[in-house]
Amino acid sequence: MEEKSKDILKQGMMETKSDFTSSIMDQINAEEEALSTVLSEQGVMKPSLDFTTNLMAQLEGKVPAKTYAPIISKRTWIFITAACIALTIFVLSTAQQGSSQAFEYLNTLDLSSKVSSVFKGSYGLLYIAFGVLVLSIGLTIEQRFGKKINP
Amino acid sequence: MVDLDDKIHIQQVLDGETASFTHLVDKYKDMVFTVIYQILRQREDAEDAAQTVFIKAFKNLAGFQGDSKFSTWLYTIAYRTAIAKTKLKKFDTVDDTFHIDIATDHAFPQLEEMKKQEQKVYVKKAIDTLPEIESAVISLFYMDECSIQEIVAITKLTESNVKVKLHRARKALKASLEGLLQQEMKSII
Repeated sequence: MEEKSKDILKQGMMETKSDFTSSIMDQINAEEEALSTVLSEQGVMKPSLDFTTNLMAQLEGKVPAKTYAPIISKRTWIFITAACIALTIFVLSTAQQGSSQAFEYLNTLDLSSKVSSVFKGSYGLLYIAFGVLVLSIGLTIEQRFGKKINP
Repeated sequence: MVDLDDKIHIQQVLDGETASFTHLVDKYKDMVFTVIYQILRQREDAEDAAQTVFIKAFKNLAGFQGDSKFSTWLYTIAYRTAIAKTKLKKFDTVDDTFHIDIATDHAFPQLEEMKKQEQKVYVKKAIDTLPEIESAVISLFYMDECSIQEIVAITKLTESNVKVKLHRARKALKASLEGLLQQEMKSII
């Protein structure tokens, strides 16, 4: 019984025209386009006529601030620091073991006699001093060139 | 991503040719002024702020990375300068009850024979009825054809917030500019 009454009601539903949806969409699109046209043509405001002249007068003789990029990148600094730490640890550990093999290469470098005399018999200390020297040079370079400079 | 013409002029300015900045100012001054005006609603204040924006842009031009459009970078400075000036940051949050029916309350009469200048005033009045941030957002969207993503980058609002503001502003403007839009639609259809 209920099914039958539903069918009767369905038959009573009226159908819309075949172009119903498209006409609604056309209307919406036209509305959107009209709004866009009206706003872009009528909505943009203009500053006073002498705006550019006044502005350029204020900028006369000025130059944009220069931004300097660091000569040594952050990644390189991390690598240098890690290498120094690794070298120091390596030297300390081999020095404790009494091994002389690790320093054979250094012996071939023929360092100046003054340096050799200062660090004679203590290559571990020499490597640490070398690491500190590299870091201090690096930090000096970074402080000088590695930051933004505003003229 | 940066317009080639802009890129050339930016490089010239960075190379010390300050006069090349005139080209960038002339190209973007209207939109920068419009965005600021929508937030400040005072012509003189907006003009001062627009000058400040271009001076800031000039000084920090070397900091422009070129990973976005120059206009997006510039409008971001403009938007932030205007917001800082009015301390309107409270408007950055979505308020569902705010101004939803404002257009119907301020509906303008039918203006069939309106002249261009009068139309401009009419449109300006309609935009002025919107909340400040909404009118800035709708200006960027329709007047400069900024994408939603660009507006998000400029305003730092969320994407959904920008869409909500656009929807509200569009609805309000369609209601308040009904007469003018009907006239325009006749020429489109």
